[in-house]
Amino acid sequence: MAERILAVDDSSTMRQLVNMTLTRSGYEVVEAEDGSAGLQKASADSFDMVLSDINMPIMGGLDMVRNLRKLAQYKFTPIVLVTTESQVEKKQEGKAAGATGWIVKPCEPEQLLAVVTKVLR
Amino acid sequence: MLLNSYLRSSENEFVSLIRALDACWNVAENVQKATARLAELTGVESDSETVAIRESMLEGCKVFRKFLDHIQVVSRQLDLAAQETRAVLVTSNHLREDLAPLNHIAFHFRLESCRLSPEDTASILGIYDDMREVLGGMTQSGDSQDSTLSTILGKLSTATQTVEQASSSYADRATVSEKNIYHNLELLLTVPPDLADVRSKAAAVGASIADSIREAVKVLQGHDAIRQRLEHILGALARVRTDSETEPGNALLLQRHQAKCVLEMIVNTGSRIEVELNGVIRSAQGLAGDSSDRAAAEAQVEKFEEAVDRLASISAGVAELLTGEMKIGNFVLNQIEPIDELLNANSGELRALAHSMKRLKRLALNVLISADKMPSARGIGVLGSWTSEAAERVLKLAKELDEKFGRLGATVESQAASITADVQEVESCRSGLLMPRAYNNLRNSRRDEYDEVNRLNEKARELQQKTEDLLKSLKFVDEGSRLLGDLDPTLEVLLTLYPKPEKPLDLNAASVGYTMQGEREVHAAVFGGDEKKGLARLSEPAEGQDYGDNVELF
Repeated sequence: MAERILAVDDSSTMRQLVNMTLTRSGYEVVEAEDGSAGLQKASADSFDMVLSDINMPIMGGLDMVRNLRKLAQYKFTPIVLVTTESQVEKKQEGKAAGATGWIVKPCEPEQLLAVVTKVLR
Repeated sequence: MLLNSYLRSSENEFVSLIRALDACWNVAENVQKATARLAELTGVESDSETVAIRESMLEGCKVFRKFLDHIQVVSRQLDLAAQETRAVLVTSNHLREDLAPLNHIAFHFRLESCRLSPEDTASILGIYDDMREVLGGMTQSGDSQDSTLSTILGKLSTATQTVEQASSSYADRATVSEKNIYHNLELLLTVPPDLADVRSKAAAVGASIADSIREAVKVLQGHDAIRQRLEHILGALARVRTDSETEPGNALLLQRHQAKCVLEMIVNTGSRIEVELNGVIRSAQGLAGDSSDRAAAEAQVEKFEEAVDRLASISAGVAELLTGEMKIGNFVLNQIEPIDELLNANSGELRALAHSMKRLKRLALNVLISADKMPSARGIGVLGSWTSEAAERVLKLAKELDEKFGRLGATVESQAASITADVQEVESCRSGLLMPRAYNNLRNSRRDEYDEVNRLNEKARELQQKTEDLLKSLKFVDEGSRLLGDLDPTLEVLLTLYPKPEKPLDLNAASVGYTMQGEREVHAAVFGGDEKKGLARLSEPAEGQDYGDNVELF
């Protein structure tokens, strides 16, 4: 059975790119357009991994990560932030919120795939 | 409002672009699979079965020719052996010639004995009887040798004649077969130029297409930065009247500058996408080929198939010729192998002859001793001397004959061993040619390869068309340029409405402190430039965990 990944980003371009890259390699991708929609979908369903942007309307990525980590089924689920932010302070904040990893956009499709493969192994 | 609308329409366009690129990527992957299949088919010409077919054909030619050459050498050796045999026959005749005087001597023994006393006569007659016995044996031996040598000569002559007759007819057939084999093998190995062209570039082009699409996918991520920047500009422009911290004039100037930067981003993004898509188009064009050469391709395939069919048939033909050679070889062996036995038997005869001559010499000695005691038997003494001399000559001849037979035997044995080895080699080669071979695999390979090339051409044409359509459909650069181009004069007008700022704006400093620093670095990473900086990490990646400067796993 294919592993399920939740892709959260307010940019439909980014969601589409993540979807295309990971679906080609046999993963199942579900999209959400902001942190709140992402949290809702994660609660209603189960995912093996979450990829999320940080700067989103309604609920940002860091808040979504903190809320996900409070849910029992997502205590240890890999959550990787895919963002344009690259400052050390932001990364520390992400790590403290419970993120598993950090990818700075733009990234090559192979990088995204390598990270997903690595954390899901 | 127009810019908001542009944001939505450009995002929709990018989503469609991504979907279209995904479809192109599928086609590109199919091109790569076709390329791999092509490499596999190309490999048929060097796979073990095909190499075995080629080698068995070439081996057939080589062994066939080698046998023909060698059997002629053997034939010449046998001819020399026949000449030696004739020389031996002459020696053997000398032996028979020495028989006549011995008979004569024996006759005179009888005559002389009549003149002797009864006692002496009895003794001489005894010697005479012994001599007659020996001479009888000599005659028999001489006859036997004659017969043996004639038989040997006959066999050698038959063997050499057979080789001569067969060689001249086989030599012509060998030449024709060899010519056909080399010609058809060459046809197999000759790759038509169009096929060679596809072979050499398919793998590289397939990889190049995939690389271009991957780069395009990376460039498309730049839209996110464009979107965020435009949204920020729109937000900042909306706050101009209400923001009390920044002077409206400076705020307008900053956003006008940012709009120009965004326009640059849009144009660069568009330009990069165009570059990558044109790369795909060029690569696909290179593989698309020309469908009007189908007839020529079909002719090449038929030529190849006919060459394989001819090789299969020639293979059977060569096997038949090799069977013929084996028959020649075995026939010659059947002639010359018995010679050894005959020579061995004849050696026995010669030994018996030598034994008889020694006995004769002893008899002669007895005669001499007896003659000494018989004063009236002087003639007998002379006869005894002559007998001893004749026996000595015969002994020498017998020794000479023995040596000659020995040499003849060695020659014949050596040639028999040589022919046996050649016949075995021919048999082994023939078996190889008659082994069931996968001619079908080889026969179909060229057609399969051309079919694959046609499929590859088709896929490449499809990819080229899809990518050209995709390129034509891109509007976000033109629309973005138009809108942002219209924004500039609008901002210019607005600037005239506000009072001149008290503090002049340092645009560079404002841009550096711009909150979208991250976006600048993103685009610098995409487009290069001096803004590219090392990305900050919390810690160094562990071994085997380095996925790039922009990736960090905690």
